[in-house]
Amino acid sequence: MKVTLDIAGGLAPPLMNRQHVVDTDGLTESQQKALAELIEAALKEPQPAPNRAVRDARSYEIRVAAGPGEKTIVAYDGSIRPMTRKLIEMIKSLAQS
Amino acid sequence: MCNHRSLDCIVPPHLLQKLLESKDRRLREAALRTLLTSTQIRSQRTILALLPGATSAGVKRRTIYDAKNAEPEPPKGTLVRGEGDNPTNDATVNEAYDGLGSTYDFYKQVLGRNSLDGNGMRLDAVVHYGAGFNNAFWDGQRMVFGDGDGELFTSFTKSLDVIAHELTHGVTEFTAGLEYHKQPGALDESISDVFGSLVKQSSLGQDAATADWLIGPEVFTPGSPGDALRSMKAPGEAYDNPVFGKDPQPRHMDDFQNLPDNRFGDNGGVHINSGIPNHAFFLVAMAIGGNAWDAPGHIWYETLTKNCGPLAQFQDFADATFGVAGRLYGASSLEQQAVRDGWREVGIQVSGAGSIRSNAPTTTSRSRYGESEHDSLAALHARVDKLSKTVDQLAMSMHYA
Repeated sequence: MKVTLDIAGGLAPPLMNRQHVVDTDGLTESQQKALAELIEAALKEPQPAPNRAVRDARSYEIRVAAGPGEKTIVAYDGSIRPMTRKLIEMIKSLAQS
Repeated sequence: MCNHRSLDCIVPPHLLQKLLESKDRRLREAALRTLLTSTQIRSQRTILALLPGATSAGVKRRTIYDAKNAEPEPPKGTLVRGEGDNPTNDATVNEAYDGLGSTYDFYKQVLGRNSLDGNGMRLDAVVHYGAGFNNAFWDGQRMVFGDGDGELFTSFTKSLDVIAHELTHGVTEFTAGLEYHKQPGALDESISDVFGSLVKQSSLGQDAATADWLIGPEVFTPGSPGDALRSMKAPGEAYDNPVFGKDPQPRHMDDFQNLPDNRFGDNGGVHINSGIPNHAFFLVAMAIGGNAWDAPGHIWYETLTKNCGPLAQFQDFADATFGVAGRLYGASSLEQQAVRDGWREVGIQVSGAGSIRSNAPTTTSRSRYGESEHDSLAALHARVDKLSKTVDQLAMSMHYA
């Protein structure tokens, strides 16, 4: 399973855009399990509609490619749901390790 | 009708200015009284703002909240400092408080605007938002600051122009309402950079020639390779290193970037193509000289608040600044020519530049001295602006007399 996190936008997008990619084949069994559970929890969270008044917020797009389909979660600074936030941090952590 | 005490009558500004330079102290005082009470000056706060120690105070209301490194939705936290409260032990809280105050004061004292909405809107800020949060943003109601990751970025409260940049998004929201994509969005970003920089310049007492024209240099850690988020003086040269890459901002329409109108394309490059109007403002300010918040700032503010709509393109905004400059400072004035030349240097030919007289105010009536009865506050600022140095000197001489 491949999980991609694209962070875009912000006060200065050229300096703040980031991509983090996790290939679960490189993870331990416990890491794979924790990531899968968090993905499931985040997918169940209703994502708020974009705030049209917001300026300089970053967007976070999480794409989960597993099997034939791809699932996507999109969130924005100021309105990130709890499980989605945890998933973002986990992806960043696993991508670095 | 005038009696023998002619100075109590409404006299034209040029005569009052001459009298302010009189060697007779009574004539100088009378001219100053006339300026303060004259019906030509509709806002006494304008002239008072020019006198040391006599600035009229607005109703400033600041509230700082501490999110304690969480990301509550919507952004919020524990109230840690309200208006008038003493500084706390948290430098970030105090920086936000002071930055909000400086921005409020600038809009009030320089532009006559009472907060973001013009009606004393309370200024709220949330600090310590998130953990290692590398950003600051305006959410439509409040400013939100991250602390930075400590490696590349430090707290975003350390940059006054960033604070003022974000708050200015609020001003734009309540005035022109520019749509946040493509050229209108780039104008939105540029306007925030312009007034963000002006707030900083005013705070530091820098004129156009001595300002650095950099956006956000203070948000980088000492070990970070970054120098600034953007440069209005030299778009495209704010940074160039392996970590951040090269500054992609253009400074000319020839290099305008047609990026995808989505979140990955920066909504059509709103933070990228803002380099073009940013550079135009810089050029205008340098050509006019002096403090950039005077004529250039007033031209841009008048344009934003009275002559700009949500779908404005760069050309529309440029044309409007040219017209405003003519109304405020006169057709063919130094200021209007500077506006024309500034936009031309970034690749935009303002409409009507070939026939400058066509940009003269089209009012239905004028006083015997030529003023329009529909003069805006900005127009009054422009006229008073020319007397400001003399008034300062007069006030000082009266103080020590």
